[in-house]
Amino acid sequence: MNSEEEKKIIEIALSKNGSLAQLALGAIALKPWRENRDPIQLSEALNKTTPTKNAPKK
Amino acid sequence: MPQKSNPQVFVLGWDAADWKFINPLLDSGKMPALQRVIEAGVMGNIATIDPPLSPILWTSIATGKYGDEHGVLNFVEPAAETGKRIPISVLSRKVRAIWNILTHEGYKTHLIGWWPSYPAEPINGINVSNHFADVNSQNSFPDWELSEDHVHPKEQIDELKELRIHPIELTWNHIAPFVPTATREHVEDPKNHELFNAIIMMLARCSSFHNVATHILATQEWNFIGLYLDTIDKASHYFMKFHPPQQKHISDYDYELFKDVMTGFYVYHDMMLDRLLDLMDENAHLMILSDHGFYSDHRRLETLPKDSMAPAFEHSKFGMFCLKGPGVKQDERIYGASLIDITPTLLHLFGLPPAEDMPGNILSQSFTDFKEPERIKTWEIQDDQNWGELDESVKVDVWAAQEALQQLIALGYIESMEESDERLLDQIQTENAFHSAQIKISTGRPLEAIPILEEIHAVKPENTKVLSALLSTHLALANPVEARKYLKLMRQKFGTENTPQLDFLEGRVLIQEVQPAKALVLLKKAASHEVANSGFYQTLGRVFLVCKDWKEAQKVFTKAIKLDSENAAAYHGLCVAFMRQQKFDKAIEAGLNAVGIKHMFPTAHYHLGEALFNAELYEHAANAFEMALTQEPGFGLARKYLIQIYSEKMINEERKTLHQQILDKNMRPQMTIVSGLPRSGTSMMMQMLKAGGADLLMDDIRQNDDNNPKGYMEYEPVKKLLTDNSWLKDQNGKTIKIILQLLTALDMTCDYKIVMMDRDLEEILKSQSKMLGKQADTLNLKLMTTFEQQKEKINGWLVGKPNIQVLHVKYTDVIENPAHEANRINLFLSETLDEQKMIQAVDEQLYRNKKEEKTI
Repeated sequence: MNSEEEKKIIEIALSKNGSLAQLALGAIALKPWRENRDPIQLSEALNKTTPTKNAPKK
Repeated sequence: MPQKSNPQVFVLGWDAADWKFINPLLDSGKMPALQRVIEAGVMGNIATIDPPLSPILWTSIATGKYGDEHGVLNFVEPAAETGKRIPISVLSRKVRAIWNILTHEGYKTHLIGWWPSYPAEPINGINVSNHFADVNSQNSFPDWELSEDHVHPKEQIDELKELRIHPIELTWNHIAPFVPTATREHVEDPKNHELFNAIIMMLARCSSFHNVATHILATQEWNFIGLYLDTIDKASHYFMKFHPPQQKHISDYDYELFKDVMTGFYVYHDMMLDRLLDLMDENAHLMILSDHGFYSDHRRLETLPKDSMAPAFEHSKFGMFCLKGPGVKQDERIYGASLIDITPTLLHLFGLPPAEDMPGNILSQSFTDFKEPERIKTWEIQDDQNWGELDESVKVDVWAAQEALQQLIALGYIESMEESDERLLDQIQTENAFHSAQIKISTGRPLEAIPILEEIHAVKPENTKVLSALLSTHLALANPVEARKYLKLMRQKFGTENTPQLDFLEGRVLIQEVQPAKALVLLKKAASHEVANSGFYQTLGRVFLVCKDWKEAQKVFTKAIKLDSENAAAYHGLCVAFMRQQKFDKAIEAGLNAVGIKHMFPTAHYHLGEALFNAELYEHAANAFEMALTQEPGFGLARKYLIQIYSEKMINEERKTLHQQILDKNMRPQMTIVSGLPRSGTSMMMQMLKAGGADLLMDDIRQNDDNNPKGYMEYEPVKKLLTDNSWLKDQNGKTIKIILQLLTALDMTCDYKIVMMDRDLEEILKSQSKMLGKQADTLNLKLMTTFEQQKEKINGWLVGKPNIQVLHVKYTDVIENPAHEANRINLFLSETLDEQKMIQAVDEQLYRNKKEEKTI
């Protein structure tokens, strides 16, 4: 997939249903999504409860 | 099915997806991709299998075998080396799955996330296991490693693992559609963290598997892709309680915050489906199905009982099914599908034959042009070709598996236990045995279930689930003797607790003992309690039907329907209750509802036909009877009605002759047998029946004597029954005396109603001794034991015989209360006898006995 196609996929996704639609596009949109990830992060508090590498080890 | 050179079949598993939830979304245009699939193909309900536990069911879907055959019987299994409890793996599966067969047949076969599919089997394509996207504390983003046993082929692992989405990668915009009213304050409130986390964990997980599917569609050759997503099930367990309408126990705060989550996940599944459709060739077959449904209405449970099966109580009996593709009918509904039919249907799509050891059928209604293929004996053949199976030496990664276990505990699927606990193995074995018994019961093999349940009961007598299963299985087998034994144990266990349920069960036992008056008292008492269970009222209604209390039956069936508007059996019962009250229009309406909900329901079609016949709507009645016969060709009563309709109402000689010929050919002779040990009162019973008008088969070879002054009422050929039973089939309608020890020699091509005389063994032996001129009070204990064993053996043999009904009658009850017993016997024999004359016959006997006593 060339960069033009990538751009097109992202545009379609964004015009449809936002981030969720972009996610539903699957593998093909993954790379460009990761590179242009939505900067609005979830709450820091919530991210802390999601297992991360900083979570206490067993 | 016309064969393409390069078939493509995509199976999309949506665990717990339910039409009841989907339909309003389709109507409001929120699931357009699924709408396209439905319009292009067939859709219908798919019946689940009890117990509705996903690993068991998805393995049945993939193998065409029931759980007791395929071996996956639980969420967990003991690891071979450590004995630790680990999530269920492929290693528990004892038979081949569709992907093994397709690999063997050379098809490009890919599998994504199937439950269970770990360790990944080396099939002819990509296989990522159900633990591929697991997130745990040991293995976190961005260093999110993946061990090799989750992926096949191993060289693909680096590329595939990048397709996983870690929950931490998701942003606010991703979860906003699920919780549109949420604010930052909501998210930061610690009490909401568990549920917000659940959303992002589930969203990341299903998106990871979806990414693999889209990757395969875009880059790989394929003939078969199986994609399994557990998200709808998991989301339903977390969030269905918040779905509209608001339940009383849900706070306004929680309701407003989480009421859109379930709709959000269904809509997201539709968005993923849309993408899959884009990537799929139009000529590919697509099958979407779930393994069970999920209650989303008033049947949602407020709290779950503490039980390993508890989450399954939220599962409804029917899942969803749809199929589109070449050769599949368009925009049509199919009926009667079961999970066990999926593998035969998939094999058919590949032009491969189902096997004789697969109990399911090809879903033939789905196809425009269908010819039943010849089955092969089995796919479990041994050859040196590639079946895509694991090497026997493969072991599972127990350490990694422990993390996945935690999620099952969090969802309530399994109990949290000390993993070193010695009870673990024992518990898994007991649960597996119980699940195996449940499967056998729910698939029409209750006799096979009984020894398993008895074995568990012997070591765990305190296990009430097993007691209850034994009781209901014996009830299902019409074996009130054993059912009463377990009822007594349950009464001892519960004391005054659960009285309505136990009264209800005792009512059922009493009905089988043909004690309708006593049953009614208990059942009315049970019905006076408020029980929020549609099945309870439905069964209660059936009992009222047996008792011919039509109004009470109507009342409780209506209650059952109020609690569950999809209870087809309750509508069927209501149809009968209305019909017996001559309310034919209402009976027709209820009957139509019953068959509308559940099409494969021959007795409902029959009673609908009966109601239509009584309403003089003969053409419709004929259609209903014909449908009953299509579904159950041995339905003789439906055939009799059709013969009457075609000969008297709407003349059709050809159809009449056809039905008459089939009926004549298949009519089974039916006889009444009076049985018991010698001297248990069989001659007295024969006299009662004779007096009542029964047609006795007897000769005068054995003359009357002092012991039986009115004669033995026997038939000489009975004595040779063990060597010749060929004469029995010519005795239709006769009543014959056959001692208990000879019953196993009955001709099983005939139907029998057995009046079994029970008399205290001590009394029998005394009577026998007296008859043989021996000292009457000399008891032979050895003989007593032998008789007891024989009685037990024969009673066991009689259980579950579909052509035999048994009524136990106590000799002393006949003597003490002949009117009551005469009524029971007459009810058992379809009210064909004169009860007064039967009572009189006993009185005469009593008079004789008393006279004898005086002369002794």
